[in-house]
Amino acid sequence: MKHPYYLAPGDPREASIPMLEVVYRNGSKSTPPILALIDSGASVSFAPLDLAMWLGVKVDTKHRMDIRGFNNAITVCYPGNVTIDIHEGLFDIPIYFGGKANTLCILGQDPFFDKAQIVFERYNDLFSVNIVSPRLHR
Amino acid sequence: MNTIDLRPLLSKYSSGWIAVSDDYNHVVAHSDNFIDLQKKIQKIKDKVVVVQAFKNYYNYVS
Repeated sequence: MKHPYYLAPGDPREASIPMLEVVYRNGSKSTPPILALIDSGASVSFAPLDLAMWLGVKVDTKHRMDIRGFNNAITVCYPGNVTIDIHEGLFDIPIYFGGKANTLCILGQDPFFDKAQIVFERYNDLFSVNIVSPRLHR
Repeated sequence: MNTIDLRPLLSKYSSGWIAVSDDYNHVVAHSDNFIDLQKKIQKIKDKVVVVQAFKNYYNYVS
């Protein structure tokens, strides 16, 4: 399925970025759709810690990861397993939770890009997501 | 496919969480943290999409 790019505030120019509406689920709890950046430059997926708190996700404090985000700030993150619900399907992935609202929700390479073919067409202001993993379900 | 322009929705916000109508037409609620935003939007029956507010999306480095 094809998805649009979003225009967001930026300096020195506006940012044109690929984002996807993602519902994060854990057991019976789920978020409203949240815009998450599809980031081929991110090795894993990230989200703010208060999202994990809302969902009741148990994070693994033994496996921290330090990430560099806006303004080069370092944020300590811990992995936790959630189900993400996108238009193309549902699947379980680890998310690294850390920081406050200044940590952007990101879907990174491992394992999201193993499960879906992601094709960026910035020149057309769109990108496509096609599921390739049989582990995905709807 | 047309881009979706978040700039008018984000013009008054540089941080926190924003709930916008699912047609991206107007802001429904804003809060500094996600849990407080959830409390606000649970009182609203409209469908929303949640967006994080940043002053500058251009310089994001992952």
